[in-house]
Amino acid sequence: MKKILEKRETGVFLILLLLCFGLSLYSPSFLSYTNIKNVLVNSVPVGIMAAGMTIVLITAGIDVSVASQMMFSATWLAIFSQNSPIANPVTVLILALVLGAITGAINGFLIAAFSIPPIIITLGTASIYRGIILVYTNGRWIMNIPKWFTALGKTYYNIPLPIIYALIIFMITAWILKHTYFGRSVYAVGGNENAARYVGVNIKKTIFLTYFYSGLLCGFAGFVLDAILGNCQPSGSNGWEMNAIAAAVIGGTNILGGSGSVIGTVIGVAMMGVIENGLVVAHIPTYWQKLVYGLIIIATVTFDVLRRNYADSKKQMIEIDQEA
Amino acid sequence: MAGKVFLQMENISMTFPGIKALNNVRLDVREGEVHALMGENGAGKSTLIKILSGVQKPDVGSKILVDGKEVEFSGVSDSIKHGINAIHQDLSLFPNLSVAENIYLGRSKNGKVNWKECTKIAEEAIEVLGITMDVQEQLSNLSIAKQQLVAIARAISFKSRLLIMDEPTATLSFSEVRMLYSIIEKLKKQNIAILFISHKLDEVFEVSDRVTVLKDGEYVGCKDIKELDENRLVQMMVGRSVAYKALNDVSYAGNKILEVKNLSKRGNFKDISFALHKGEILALTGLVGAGRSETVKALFGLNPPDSGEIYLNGKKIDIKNVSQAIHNKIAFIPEDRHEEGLILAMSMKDNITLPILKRILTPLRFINRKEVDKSAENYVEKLSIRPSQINKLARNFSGGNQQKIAVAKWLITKPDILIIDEPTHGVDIASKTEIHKLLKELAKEGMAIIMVSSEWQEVFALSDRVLVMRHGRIVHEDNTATGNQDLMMEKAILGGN
Amino acid sequence: MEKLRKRFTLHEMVLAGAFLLIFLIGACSNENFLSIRNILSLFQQMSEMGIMAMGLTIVIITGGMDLSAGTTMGLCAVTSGLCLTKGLGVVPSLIISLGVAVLCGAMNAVLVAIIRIPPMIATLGTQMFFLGAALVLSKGNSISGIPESFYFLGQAKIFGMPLQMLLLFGLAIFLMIMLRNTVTGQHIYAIGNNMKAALFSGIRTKHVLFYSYIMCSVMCCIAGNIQVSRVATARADMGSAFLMTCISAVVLGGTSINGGNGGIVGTVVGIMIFAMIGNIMNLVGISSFWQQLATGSILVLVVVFNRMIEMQKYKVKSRKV
Repeated sequence: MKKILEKRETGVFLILLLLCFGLSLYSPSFLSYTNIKNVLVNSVPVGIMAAGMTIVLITAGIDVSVASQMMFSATWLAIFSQNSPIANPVTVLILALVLGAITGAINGFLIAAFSIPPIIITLGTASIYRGIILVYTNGRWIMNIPKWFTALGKTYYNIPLPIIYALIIFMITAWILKHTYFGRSVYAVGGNENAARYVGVNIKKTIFLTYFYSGLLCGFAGFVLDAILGNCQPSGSNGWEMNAIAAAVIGGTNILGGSGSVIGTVIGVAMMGVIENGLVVAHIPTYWQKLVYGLIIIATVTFDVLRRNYADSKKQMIEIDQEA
Repeated sequence: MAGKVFLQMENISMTFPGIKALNNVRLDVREGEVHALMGENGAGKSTLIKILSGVQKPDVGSKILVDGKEVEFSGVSDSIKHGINAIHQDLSLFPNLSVAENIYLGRSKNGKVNWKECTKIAEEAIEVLGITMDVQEQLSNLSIAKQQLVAIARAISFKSRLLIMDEPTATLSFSEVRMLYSIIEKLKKQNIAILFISHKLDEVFEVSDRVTVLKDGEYVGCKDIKELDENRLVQMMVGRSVAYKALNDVSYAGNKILEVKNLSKRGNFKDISFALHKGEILALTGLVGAGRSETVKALFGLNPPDSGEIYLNGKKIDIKNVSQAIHNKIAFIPEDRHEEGLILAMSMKDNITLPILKRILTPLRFINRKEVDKSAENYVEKLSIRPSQINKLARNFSGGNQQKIAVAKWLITKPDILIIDEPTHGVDIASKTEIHKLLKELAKEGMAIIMVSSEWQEVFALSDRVLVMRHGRIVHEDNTATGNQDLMMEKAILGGN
Repeated sequence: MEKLRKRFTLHEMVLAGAFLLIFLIGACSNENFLSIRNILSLFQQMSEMGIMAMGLTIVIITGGMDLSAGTTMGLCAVTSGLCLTKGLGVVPSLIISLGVAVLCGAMNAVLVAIIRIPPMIATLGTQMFFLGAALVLSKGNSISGIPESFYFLGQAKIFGMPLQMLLLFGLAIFLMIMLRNTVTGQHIYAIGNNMKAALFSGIRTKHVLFYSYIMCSVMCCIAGNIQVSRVATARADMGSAFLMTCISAVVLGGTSINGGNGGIVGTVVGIMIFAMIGNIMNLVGISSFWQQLATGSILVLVVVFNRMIEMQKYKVKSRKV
């Protein structure tokens, strides 16, 4: 029991509960079914990206192209669903995953093969993927996504499908992290890359798969986004990669690598959704969001780094003889 | 008690550019024995271990035999296949994973992790050691001593015949050391041999069966511990062979320039007090980990002390950062001239003038390029740096000349006090003599020199006085020429009393 | 040819070649390209990005990064806009805007140099924070009604040349001299090459880092004020779109992303190349969306290409965030 209490995730979870409690006092409608449903459903695309981001962060990497990858997928899916004779729920889903696999693989290859800082590569590919869809669509919105598509994003028997998707993704990601050699390699590489090499972990392969998986999830997120919104704005979702990173970092994933969990990220996503909703409920204009998120990220990362610095300095010390 | 010989190393030589780290060394290990590998810093112990664990490939002609058959190690996994497992000083473990996973990781590389098997293997390994540990505990929550046990457990879980440990008790407390001894006993009973590097005589006498001594890359001998006593063992390790030309027949020591009182820093050094005189060469010796570098770095502002006083020419001063140290005319040449002493991507002249740029400005406060060139050329001549192209990048010079550039860089600040850490570490014989002559020249000109050194020959040949450190304290102080040199060497290894 | 090879690096020659190539394409593609009016307009547009890119160059040479450069520009723009529309004069507004820039740079420096958070992460956080601050100050709206007295910065012409172009070159010369001829400049390169050795050489690394990050933020502030003056509006998202292009220009110009080398000249050439590409696209009628695609592609290509050459030479294996 003590171990659970000591975990970082628990602390964040308690803060989340406090927030929810406080907000419900301030505005009773906060806890209404409709409100909670909206908060959760709107958080799903970011949540899915955040799941992939968790794995990336654990390897001490970063991926700022996730929003662009998601929109890349969303755009082609929208166009495909409107124009292709073979478009149906199954083919659209497959296409989503294929697109995500491609964008993710490109990232993974460039980062793993050339050992270039992930931030630079993903900064560049973010522009490339975004640029491609903007050029093709000339920036115009794609409206009227077919009803059979948006049906995949609706609520049935009071349970919104997007929530189900998110839960499935979270469970798969958690399972991968916990029970596969790849998942454990991710922790190994992030925890001590040299030791990982020493025990035979294929660093390059692990890095490639990390970004590949993140891409897959982004592709799927695009699918979910289209289903929820019913339209696609190629220039939209700007800055959502920051939300994904923030969610993971708040949830306990260490920015320096080595630790992190899906559960934590889920709590982080929920936290961000609640904060956003809370600002609305408290009639605080939405433009305060970025400021709040920025502060939270800075504070969280500072805390993590200071903690790591302290631990490192203790390791350097030697034992001094007590008497001369 | 010990079984037959199963591992033999013969004719082991290892040549690095300019240095022969090992020359015709041999070593053999018996099943189930505890074999100590001893020698001073730089004797070649680490190199020998690296060769045995597959990290380093020895010169052609070197032979390693397992069960009488010659083998070749082209990597770590090869040596592991033959039952040889090395535990590095940094343990190569994952602080963010559980004990069980640390032991298990890397075994099955496909798909799903078999947690049952992981726990089983881990618990079995722990059992062999005869200790109790929660294998699900996260590694970083354990003490260093326990983490070391995990490293040992991992090594033996690979069906080891030989376990190699490098200074295993360096960071352990008294009770933890005893725990390690009992583990070693248990391993012996399992017929697992242990080869360990150690500087601690008492430890070697307590647990080992045989000891092999190396000196300056040469094989001195291998004896049953029962045939030795402390004195004879120390003699094997430090016996005089290659004599440095004694340059300290004349001492230029004059007035006191520096006085240090009770300098202390948690986890680094305690109650350091000594005096330094103009024109004097003061040697600071001791084993690796004694705290010498940490102490001298404190005098240079890189490692400010928690308490204590420093007096320069009678006046109390504070050295809180490097700028202040330079301002007080103190210079520091670090041990790792490469990483810490030079900026390899910059030219020789830029490296040499880096610390004094503020002094060679034009009236407009720009860098005076002519002065930079002049200063650099000055030192190229003074120290015979070859080739003499001041615009050449530092990385394109040979090792010995890089050392000279690092030295020039500090001499240019015209310090009153020069601290040099291992002056001839990794330097070829010819350059060693040059550097020694240079240091003596500087002392003659009045510079006070603190020389951190692990080479007794160098200490005895060059220094006026010797300070011996051990475990963060000064345990002995004496005049080099008139003092008891054997006692000095013993104190470094054994400490006070 | 041999003489050229010794005087210039491979990268510099490729850069010059690329510049000439783009220039020729421009000259051929549209008759207006070479007109004085177009060239001046080109410089007018690129000066804002150019000034930001030069600031970034300094930070990148130290081995760091400033992802908050874009949003710093926006924050300073909003600050100026607010001050101006509230009746403060031109000079007080500029001073306050500069003050904000110094605070931004200092904040980055504290995170990077004192707490020692990796620069990428630290400035990723401050990027969001500064944008948030700008949004809060501007309440998410555009600030219009900038007084005419402020128009000179972005719209005036001295001897027929746009003021901001003169500023660009003036600052370029200033920074170039700083980097090449002053002690601080030498220290900046030293830190970017080997932070430890620099520290051991008596360089006050923290001071130099503060200087670098604040200098970068100040450059962003100048760029922001120029834009506010040019379009007579202030918005929180000004500059955000520049970041990508600026980083690309710095890397394209020959400054290694790991620091330790490079300079202002390369960056300016890089910005000119990107500006020309944008200009040609406008003249020919290609949508500006292509620019984003082009910028990202060029960044990736340049970085990968550089790395391949590096790997050939040194067979280095390392991975940094």
